Amino acid sequence: MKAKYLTAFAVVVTLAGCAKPDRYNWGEYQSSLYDYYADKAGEADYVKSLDLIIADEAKGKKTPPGVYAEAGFMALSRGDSAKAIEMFGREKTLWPESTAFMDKAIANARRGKSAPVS
Amino acid sequence: MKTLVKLLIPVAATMMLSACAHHDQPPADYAQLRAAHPRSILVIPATNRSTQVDAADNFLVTLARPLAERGYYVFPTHMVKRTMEDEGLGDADMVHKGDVRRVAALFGADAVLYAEIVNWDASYAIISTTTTVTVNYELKSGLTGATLWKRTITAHYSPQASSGNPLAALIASAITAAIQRAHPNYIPLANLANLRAFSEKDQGLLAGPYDADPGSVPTRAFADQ
Repeated sequence: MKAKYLTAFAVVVTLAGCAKPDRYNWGEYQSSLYDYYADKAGEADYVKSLDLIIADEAKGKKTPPGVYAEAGFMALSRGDSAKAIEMFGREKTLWPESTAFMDKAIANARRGKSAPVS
Repeated sequence: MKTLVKLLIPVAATMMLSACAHHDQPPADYAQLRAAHPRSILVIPATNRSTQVDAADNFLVTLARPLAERGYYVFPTHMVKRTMEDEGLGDADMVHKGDVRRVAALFGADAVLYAEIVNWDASYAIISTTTTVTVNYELKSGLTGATLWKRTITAHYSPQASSGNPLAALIASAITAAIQRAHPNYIPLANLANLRAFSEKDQGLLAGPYDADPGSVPTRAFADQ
């Protein structure tokens, strides 16, 4: 069993020789959202994966675009509009491209609505 | 599910390792993309013409990463999906036929990525399962609706357990194939198709504004499938 893991490790190391490392820390974003879509019970793990990516910023890892907004959206859906507004604000600061969308999302969160656009 | 994903990581690594060989194709025409130089990409739900009913949602979760890694701002996948549903834009087929500019304006997106899953088929055997996916990708300007870039990718995925021991490898392959049959994991194949679509030498997307060299032509080489 150990040999199998070592082989897998060797493959990954070899792979790193030709693949560029990721620009951002994606954590479990993909797999937890995949699991959440397969089963609504995965919502808590999805939220946890977003929080973990954000927490890892303290270790110098870069948070990908969209992650703050996703965390804000999930906070809003549980009624935590204060956290939602904070997260939407951080998304906007980090990524000016999101300004129009985040301004709408913040305005809606202030009105206590979860639908970010209308 | 998480355990399954972990089990398949070495498998995916083996598969992607084969992606380092070199070959050349005539470069794509980047005139439209270069002129529009979008900073942000909106990923909208994919349309699905395959027989796998959950392929669209599963594929959707894999798109943000390779586009962001290419240097673009990518709008939040799940928040966008839910927002579109709330806006009466939950039907992907309808949205794909509709006006790109309307969708882009809702989010303030420079460009919109359309993905159509043409097929997603698995051929099952005792010791291996080969899954094949074909996806049409198209990036459209959110401002003019013009097509900035498009590509069709067909990718194959045959999980193979890696081991120095032939018998152990055979058994591991059979187990991996059985897992694939019971719970097909779409992520490794979708990741491969996306990586190839967006990053392949002279064919993928030009680097976005957050790349060290914005506007540069992709250089990554892949082996023929």
